[in-house]
Amino acid sequence: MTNRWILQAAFLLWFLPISLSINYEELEARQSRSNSECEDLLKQLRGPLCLRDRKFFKMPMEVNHPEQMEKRDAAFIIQEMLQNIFLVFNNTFSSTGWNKTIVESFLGKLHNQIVFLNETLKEVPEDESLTTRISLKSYYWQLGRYLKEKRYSSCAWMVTRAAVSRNFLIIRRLTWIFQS
Amino acid sequence: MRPSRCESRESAYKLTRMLPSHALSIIRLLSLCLMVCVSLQFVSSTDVEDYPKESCDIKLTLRNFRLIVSWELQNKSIPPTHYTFWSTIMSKLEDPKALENCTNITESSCDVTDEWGYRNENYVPIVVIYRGDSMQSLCDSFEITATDTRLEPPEFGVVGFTDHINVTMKFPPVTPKLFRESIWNMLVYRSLVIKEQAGQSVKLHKPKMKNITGNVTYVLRDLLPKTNYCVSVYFEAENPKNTIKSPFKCTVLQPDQESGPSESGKVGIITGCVIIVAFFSAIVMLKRIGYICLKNNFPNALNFHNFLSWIVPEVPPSEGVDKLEIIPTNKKKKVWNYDYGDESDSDGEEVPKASATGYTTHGLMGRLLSQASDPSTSPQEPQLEEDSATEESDATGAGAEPELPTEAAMVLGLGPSEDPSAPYERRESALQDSFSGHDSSSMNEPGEKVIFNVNLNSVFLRVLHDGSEDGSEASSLAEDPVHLDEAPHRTESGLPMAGGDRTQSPHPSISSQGLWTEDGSSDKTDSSDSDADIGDGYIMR
Repeated sequence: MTNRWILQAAFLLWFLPISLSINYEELEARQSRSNSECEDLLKQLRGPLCLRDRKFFKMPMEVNHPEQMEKRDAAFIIQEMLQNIFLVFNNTFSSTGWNKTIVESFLGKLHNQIVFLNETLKEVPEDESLTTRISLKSYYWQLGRYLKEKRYSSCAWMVTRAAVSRNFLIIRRLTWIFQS
Repeated sequence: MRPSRCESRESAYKLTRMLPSHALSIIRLLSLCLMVCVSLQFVSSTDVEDYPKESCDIKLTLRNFRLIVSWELQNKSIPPTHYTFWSTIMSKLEDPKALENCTNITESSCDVTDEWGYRNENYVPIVVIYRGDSMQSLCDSFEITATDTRLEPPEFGVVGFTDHINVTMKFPPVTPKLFRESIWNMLVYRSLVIKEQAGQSVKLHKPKMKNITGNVTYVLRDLLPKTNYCVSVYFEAENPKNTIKSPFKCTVLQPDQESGPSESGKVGIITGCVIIVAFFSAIVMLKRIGYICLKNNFPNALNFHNFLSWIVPEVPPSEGVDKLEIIPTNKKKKVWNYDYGDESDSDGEEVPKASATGYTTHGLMGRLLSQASDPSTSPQEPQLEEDSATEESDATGAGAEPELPTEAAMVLGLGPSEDPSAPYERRESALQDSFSGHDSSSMNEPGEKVIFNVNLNSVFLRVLHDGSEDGSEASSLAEDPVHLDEAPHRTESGLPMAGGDRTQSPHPSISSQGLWTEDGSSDKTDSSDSDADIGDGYIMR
């Protein structure tokens, strides 16, 4: 009887890392495709330049230079960024004159990728990316507050959209980490 | 700019208190001019977006490993005279800035490699269009990022060989920097693709790119000779829309005659030579040890190859050896002889004396007793031979011996103890040839002759009796071919004599027997000299 339990425990220990491992090849492929689709949709959201309404939003340093980041942490960072972008664009944008279909399509792409990441990372414990994720929450909180201060004006949305566009540049670099 | 304007005001205020009043107006004028100039400059940078806008298409391209911003106006009704390129970024509150190298330019492109230094930034390009002195317009694009960079392929050349192509690509001698980073860091996740196409067959090569400088040669191997290959080189961008493929450069692989055969051909030739040498070596070795190429012209005594003849003895050649057997008989017979008088003398004579003369002729004609005794007798029908002898005996009365045909058959070796097949059949053929066109009755004519050759060097006569007389007779009969050549004539000449003496048809065997008996008695001593008894009852001449 004891031997039987030992054998089962050995099997669990053997299969646990396998079950918790992430298929980064598939993750990279799906994330790259999602990035391109979201960027294309963002470029279709046109408006005035509004250079005078620009504002600097500080992005966490570790996210701006993610070359030394591990694959698992990069996956968690991407998950956090996509969730917050979804929340930002889930606000009212009626003043912009944007095509609602494009925005909903953009939100749909984000949602699908967020679901995929949640499913992929639900069994993976996170450790080092926790502080970075807190800094990211602060960054996106600033974006939301800016929109609110500008009363979701067209120029505020264009500035916010430009910031989100830069976020996708960072997400693309985070995605490259999966290839290495 | 604003802090500088405040400073100028403070300095002007101090000066007005220290300097006399007449100089005060001058200083105020100067400070006013300075303020106006600074204000004008500030307004010109901030109000650039207030110009009238027109549609254009602005692109960022990596051309010869330089970042080039190019634009194309949609309103081409009035051609522009010159351009000024401005740019700024969206993440900071920076005023648009005109690039020095791209001010008042006539070409519709600007090199921004050294100006744009942030990879994660989205840049705002602004092109001020001048048409004459007064008319200005603005062409802008909301943003351009690094991911929007269209990658033009590097310059390359192809050189075709027998079975491979050298693709030489030209890269900068010094690693260029884009957005303040090595270009290879920028392109690390973008593949350099070499497209190899031959007809419908397309093959993509993706060599590793890291710190490539100068000319780099990539070899396309394992190509088919005498085939037209086309090669295209390009960078595979993340967005397929941003990939610019080079035009194909084609080359036909011709067999290189000067360089000789290819490696595979050389290997084949060497292998073939080795196989040939090994084959001939094996042949020579087998020949030396005697497994092959043995001589076939052995003496007959050493001929062991025909194993079948060991089991079934080979039929001796017709003219080589005839195995005859002399069977003596003690029965009395009537023998036609030159000596007709004393029958009692003939009683003592034995048949082998006559029969021996019949089958030991050497290349001459001999008269067989069996055939001569009965014209109706044929070699194929020994039984009929006997019957005809009986009839003959009836016709000749008491002088005809009934045993004579039987004796003749025995002389031919067709006795009951003999194997009748071989010699019998040979004589059959000989007789058929000599009597072609005649039926069996024609063979019954008197004076029929059988010609057969005997090689005296290999004649064995079996002496069934110890009596030297028979042996001497047999040997004497086979001895003298000269007389045998004359024998037919003598026999023929003798036959009429016999026929003349007697009404009965002559018996050739008897006459020949009588004739040869005389010779046999005379040759007796000669044959005894040359004959050698080899034992087992055989005498070899």
